[in-house]
Amino acid sequence: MEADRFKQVDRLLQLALEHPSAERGEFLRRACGGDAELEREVRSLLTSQERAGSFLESPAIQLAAQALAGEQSKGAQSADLPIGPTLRRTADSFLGGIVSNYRLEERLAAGGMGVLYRATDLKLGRSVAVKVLSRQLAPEETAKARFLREARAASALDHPNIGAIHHIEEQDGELFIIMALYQGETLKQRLKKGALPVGEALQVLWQMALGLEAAHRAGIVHRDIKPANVLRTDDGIVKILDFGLAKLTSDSQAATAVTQPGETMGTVPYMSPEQLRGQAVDVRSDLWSFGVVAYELLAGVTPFQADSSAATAMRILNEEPPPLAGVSGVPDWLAELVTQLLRKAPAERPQSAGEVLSRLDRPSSPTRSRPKSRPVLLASAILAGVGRWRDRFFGSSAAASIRSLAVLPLDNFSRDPEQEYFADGMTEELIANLAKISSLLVISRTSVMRYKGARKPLPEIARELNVDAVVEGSVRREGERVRITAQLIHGPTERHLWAESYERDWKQVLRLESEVALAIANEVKVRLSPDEQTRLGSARQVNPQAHEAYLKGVYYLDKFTVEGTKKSLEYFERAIQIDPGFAPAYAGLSLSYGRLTTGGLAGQHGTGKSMPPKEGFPKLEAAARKALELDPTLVLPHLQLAWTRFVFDWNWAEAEREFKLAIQLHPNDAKAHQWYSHYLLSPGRVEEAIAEMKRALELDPLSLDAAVDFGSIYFFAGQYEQGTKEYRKALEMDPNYPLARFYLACAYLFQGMYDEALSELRKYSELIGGHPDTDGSLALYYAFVGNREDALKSLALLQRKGVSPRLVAVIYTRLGDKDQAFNWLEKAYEEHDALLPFLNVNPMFQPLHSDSRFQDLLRRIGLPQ
Amino acid sequence: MSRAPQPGKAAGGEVSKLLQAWSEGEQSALERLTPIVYDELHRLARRYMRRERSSPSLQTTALLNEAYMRLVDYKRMRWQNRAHFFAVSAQVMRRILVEHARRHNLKRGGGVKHVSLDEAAAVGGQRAADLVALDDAMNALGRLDSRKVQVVEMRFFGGLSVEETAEVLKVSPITVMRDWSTAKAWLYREMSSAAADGSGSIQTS
Repeated sequence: MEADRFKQVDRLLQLALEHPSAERGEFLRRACGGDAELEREVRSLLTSQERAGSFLESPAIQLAAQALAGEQSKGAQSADLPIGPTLRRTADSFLGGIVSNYRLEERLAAGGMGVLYRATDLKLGRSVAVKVLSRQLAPEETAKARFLREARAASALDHPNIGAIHHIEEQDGELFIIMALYQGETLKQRLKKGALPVGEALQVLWQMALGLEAAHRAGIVHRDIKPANVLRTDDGIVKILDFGLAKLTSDSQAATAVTQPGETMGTVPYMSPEQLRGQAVDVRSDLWSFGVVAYELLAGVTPFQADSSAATAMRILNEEPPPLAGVSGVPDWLAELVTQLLRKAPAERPQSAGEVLSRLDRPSSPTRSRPKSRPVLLASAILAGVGRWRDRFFGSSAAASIRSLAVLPLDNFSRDPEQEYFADGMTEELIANLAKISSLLVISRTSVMRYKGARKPLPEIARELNVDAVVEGSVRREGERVRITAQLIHGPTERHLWAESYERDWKQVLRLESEVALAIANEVKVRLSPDEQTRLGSARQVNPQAHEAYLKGVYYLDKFTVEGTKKSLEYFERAIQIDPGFAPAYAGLSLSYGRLTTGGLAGQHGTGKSMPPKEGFPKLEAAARKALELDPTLVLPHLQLAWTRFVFDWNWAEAEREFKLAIQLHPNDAKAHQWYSHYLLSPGRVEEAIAEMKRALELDPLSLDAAVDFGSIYFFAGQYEQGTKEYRKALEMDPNYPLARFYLACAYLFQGMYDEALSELRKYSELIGGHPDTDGSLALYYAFVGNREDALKSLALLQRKGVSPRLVAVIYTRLGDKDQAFNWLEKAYEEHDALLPFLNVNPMFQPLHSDSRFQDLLRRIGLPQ
Repeated sequence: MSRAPQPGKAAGGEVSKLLQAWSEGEQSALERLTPIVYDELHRLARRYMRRERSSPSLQTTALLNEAYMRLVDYKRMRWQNRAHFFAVSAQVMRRILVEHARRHNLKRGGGVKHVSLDEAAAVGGQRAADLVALDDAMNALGRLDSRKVQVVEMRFFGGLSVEETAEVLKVSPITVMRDWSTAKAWLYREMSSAAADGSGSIQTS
């Protein structure tokens, strides 16, 4: 092409660029006036102009410096050389840019793995380190998946001696690893000044071994332990960096390092023989590398130092290192430990970091430089690390010390007050999401719902719920847009730790809730298992209408009335009709049936007609099964199945299995612990039942039925005084809770406190909206005091309301009418009455125990006789 | 700063004069400037590379500024001379880099594929080839429009800003920006087609 022609092309290109991109084509067509070749040329430049992006955009100084310096220093320093992975990447397109919510602000370092930046987390306002994986390492898709899995597993490691990985982000095919930013120097930098004094080296090694031990316990092998990967903060805390990231390089390094004689040193001096051979590596390979680092810290040189990587590799494979014992000040036992760490055969080395720790942890000895004992080392580590270390372990940093929290009912900011159910539903789902994180104690909804509309100071609420922090916020729904605002507040100090506002399409609302939960988890630095991350990340889309119907179902179920439960049933069914794949709706349906069948107020205490167990349980089970088919991670259906096996099928083994599964899936679910406690109580496993109920109360401290259940364990165990205490505690929370009044009356009866019992039963009657003279509430009292006539009158009133045959049996038992009692128990048996599994522990039936018919019943139910 | 060879002290006055001369249009001044600047950049770069990681952000301006301040009696220079100095440095940089890349490729032949990761992290491999390709493309562009190549040289190899480039070339900044965008598009196309059709010298040039 000639210069003149090029000028023409240049001019047209510049003119085209001044047009909006949509109009450029039209402009060129006109401007080129039929000169097809000219038009093609300009178009082609336009295309590459668009594609060129950051090409050449930042200067080649990095390359130049390398070229200039590299001629001389190739080799020993290569691992630390700054790189610009390709020409285009050298033009640092990331610097100053924003990845996810991180602004990359300063290039800190670069190495074989990629480039490290200092960045600001724009959401949380803190400084972090972001590593951009270099393109040369950008793995194939399958390898990438594996890499991500491992890196995420490593990011779950939470240990003071392991550099924290906050996140792994993927954007436009680039991998970004977001890590904690530490101030300090790497051992590599430190080693430039020579060997460390033995005492100092031991402190480093001790902390390294602690970190390795934690990682190995979690099944994570580092594979690239070397001084450049170990950082000592200005506080003296040792951090092993890049856990889970080395896998990417190790395979190819092992394959190439040896075959490129003289070209690279890289990490060869720290590679184990099995790594060099390309064999499978396990924790013992890390221990080898740890041994090499130990050697270098003490001696100032690596044990297999040679002129080239090939020579080094040969020495690693074949030669014994020069003995450390000759290095002044190194005690024999330490030299011996290092020698053993550097045994060629993995089986001959110490087999775990734990073993290394115990070897480093020696009793005091004449050698002054030897570590005296583990506490001394730890103490010095703590002393050295006044700042960060203390923050982390002694709770001066609010966010780091949060291990329990409560989500207060989100305020309804929608214009329509009818949207209350929506805000409540969002609250519940947010709690459910957070509760999936096992290392965080999250207060159950029944407890937090008691603060709805309350205007109590937050520190007081936090104290009452015994939590470190609370989440509060609001929900606004306008049509199909949902906006959630949430903030995390430190309980004792009321300090705001985090706040965020999200707006999404309703379809995305489940994902949005997961996001909020993850953000909070991240903020309080709890550890997420990979499984938990997956579960939190897997929220599906939701049909807004189905979701709405579902939330209304939950809302009505919460009313704890028979009418409310029946309404909830309708809403769950509607949700299923709209979206037959929406698992939570089936779970809700199952719960509604459960309530109607065995549900506290309805069946047991005559406030409404319940569904016969033989009708209710199969429906309950079918709904639960369907829910699990759609989403096996839901906890509620598992519990419903467990409950069915327990109280309806009397299939103890199956019931226990399901309960345990539910608890394993959701260790934070209060109901799971509460119901399992019932199960344990039934055959008289009282201690275990108490432990489980305590856990339930921890998770749901204001749950009235859990509080009553707790009292009932003591009641069933014959400890009436303790039971009384617990029932009274429940009534302190809510004096109008009828069930607590009723059970308290029972406890009084067994202690001979008849007047107190009478008074409680009268209150009970009022609370359920009846009158003690007409609703039969006093039947039990009359039976206990031997007033047969009034007892039978009251019983008749009860029966008219359709009370359960079991309660009738109780009255007859207490009247001493055993035949009638067994008749009614037989009916209860026929019906599979939900409380029959407690037959043997219920003191009401004690007078029947010696009767063979009772033993026969126990046998048929499958209870121990 | 080290007490070792300090060409700056010796060359200070001379470099200033040469820069002055060159900025006034005397081309031969450039020929004499180049080796002085080369040596100084070479030395500085090496030191930067050896430096602790505590000051890792190796920036063009930092390096060039240091070279400039050492080589030139800057208090007596007008700032435009600084721009000229950077422009010289840019040419020097280009020469250094491309020569290095060619040497590297020659030495390695077609073995780039087997380069180890550490080696790739140092200068070489793909990048060396890219630089050679860039140099070739710049030479081709220079035959069509030499000023555009100068713009690329100053901005990419010398790290000059648009304004500094404009000053050196005595054109308006907007012209620099236009030159830059056309040159980028042209070079990008040239290099990607060379890579795509395999006729380019990606591995063995």
